[in-house]
Amino acid sequence: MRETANFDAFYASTSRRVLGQVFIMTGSRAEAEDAVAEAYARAWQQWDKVSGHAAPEAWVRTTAYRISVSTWRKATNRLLAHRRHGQTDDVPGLTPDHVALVDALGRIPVDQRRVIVLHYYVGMSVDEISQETDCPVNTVKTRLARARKALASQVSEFADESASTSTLGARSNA
Amino acid sequence: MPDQFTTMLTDIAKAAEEAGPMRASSLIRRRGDQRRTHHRAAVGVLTTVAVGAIVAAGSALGMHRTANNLPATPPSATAHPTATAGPSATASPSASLSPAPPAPPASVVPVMGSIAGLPGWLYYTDGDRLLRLTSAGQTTVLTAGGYTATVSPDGTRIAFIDQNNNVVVTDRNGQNRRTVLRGSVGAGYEPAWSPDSQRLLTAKNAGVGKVTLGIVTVATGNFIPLAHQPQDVIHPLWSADGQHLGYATGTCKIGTADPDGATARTVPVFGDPNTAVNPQRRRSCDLYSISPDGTLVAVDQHTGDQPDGDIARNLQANTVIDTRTGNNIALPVTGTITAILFQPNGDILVRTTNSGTNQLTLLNPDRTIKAQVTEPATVTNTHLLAYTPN
Repeated sequence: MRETANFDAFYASTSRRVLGQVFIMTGSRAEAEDAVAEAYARAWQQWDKVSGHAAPEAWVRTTAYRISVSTWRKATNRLLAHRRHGQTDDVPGLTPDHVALVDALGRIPVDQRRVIVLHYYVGMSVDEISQETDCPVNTVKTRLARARKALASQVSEFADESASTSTLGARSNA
Repeated sequence: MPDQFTTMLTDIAKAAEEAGPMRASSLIRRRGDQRRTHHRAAVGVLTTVAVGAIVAAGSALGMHRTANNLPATPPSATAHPTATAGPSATASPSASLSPAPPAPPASVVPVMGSIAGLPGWLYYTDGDRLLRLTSAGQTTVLTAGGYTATVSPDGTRIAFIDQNNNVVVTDRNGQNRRTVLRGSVGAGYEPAWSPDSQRLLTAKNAGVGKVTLGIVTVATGNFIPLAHQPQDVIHPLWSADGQHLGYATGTCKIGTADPDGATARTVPVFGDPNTAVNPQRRRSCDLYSISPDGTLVAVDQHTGDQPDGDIARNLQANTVIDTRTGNNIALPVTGTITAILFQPNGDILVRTTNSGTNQLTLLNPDRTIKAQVTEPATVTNTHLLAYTPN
């Protein structure tokens, strides 16, 4: 059962963190839960492979992200949005400012939201995001720039900032 | 570097992390995903962590035994997360199959109906398996993929989405498998048969969050996108006259369109979020069947604060809706309606349940009763998938 214990430890040590990350990407805790749960289930199913992956947590995060934005997830999100009238009422600890930011994030394209989260929350460099998202560096930069621009009305720091992406690659891992 | 923004993201993520335990139920309600075995594994894992038990408890309780068996044949005891009753004959493949005679060879066309008194063949799914009821028991047609499976109107073919999101077509016995389309979508877009059983209305994955609806010819695998792409479509169906598409939308309305996707419209009133128009909040995200001329649809109607479910089809219906008016159409049956299957000839097969016993009523097109039979207990806890005349 060493393999089982190994997976349990991985799940216990990473799942909450990944849930938080995917929540920002999806704006819905229920959706994030579903996506994260499915991602860990898939990780378990091929644990031999995933456990040997250079970054299992990134594997799960990427998988959860893909699940969350896949077509059926998108439709599910619509259902949830319908049910909840767009409120993030499944996370009671959020302040009005937080809710406003989550809503603002929800209005930008998912690929932009993903790079924003990976860069500003997970703390990844543009190069690292490029690897995780399997996108060219310039695409990552463009998405970041567009996301910042889209969020400028909500995030004063982005409003103040020029659209330059020259400093992005220098951010170190958090 | 916008540290304030990062701080806010951190706060938001922490709030989400601390909002409560991850719910195992969120997996259980994900009933439609083909990879149900994964969910069972995750339910065990998540329950372990979600309730705050020590990690080792999951292993000690045997929660991982299911997972360890993956992806081999799932154990019967946990095979039916959605089953409401206790252990039954259907819950165990061995129990349900052992009394039955061997399945007929693939080349043999069944010559008897599923139930005495009801001509034709009944297909059911338990989530993974696709089963055909026979007078002697049941035949497992597919061991996996049952939840996305559809049976051709002529009863000779089965289509389903495999675990790689490919559209696969088999003969009536699940044999002679052939992939007819790669890159489809695993849930929400079950292949819908054309009236002549030669083509399938299906969806092709068109990138993140996008699908292209189109028609694939089974014989050639040639996929032709619909000339017009109706928006917000899930569970598309094709009427038996070939002239209408029906679908649910992501906001639980019902839509109809021409077979090329043109003239898309939603059914009035039904699914309208305005309670002044739709006071009961009648709606459905689960389209189950469409009448031959497209004027009626069978749906799993939800009202009020009932949860809407998820993208996976739930394979049940309780209401007939007139697509022109949005009105409910009454059916002359007693008990709780659990499935309504329109037939190409206009007949309607209605499944009802009453005190744990299921009844099947075949209605004429004018909704008078043509036949009524009691369903064998072996399929009580499965979903009715299709009824074919031969």
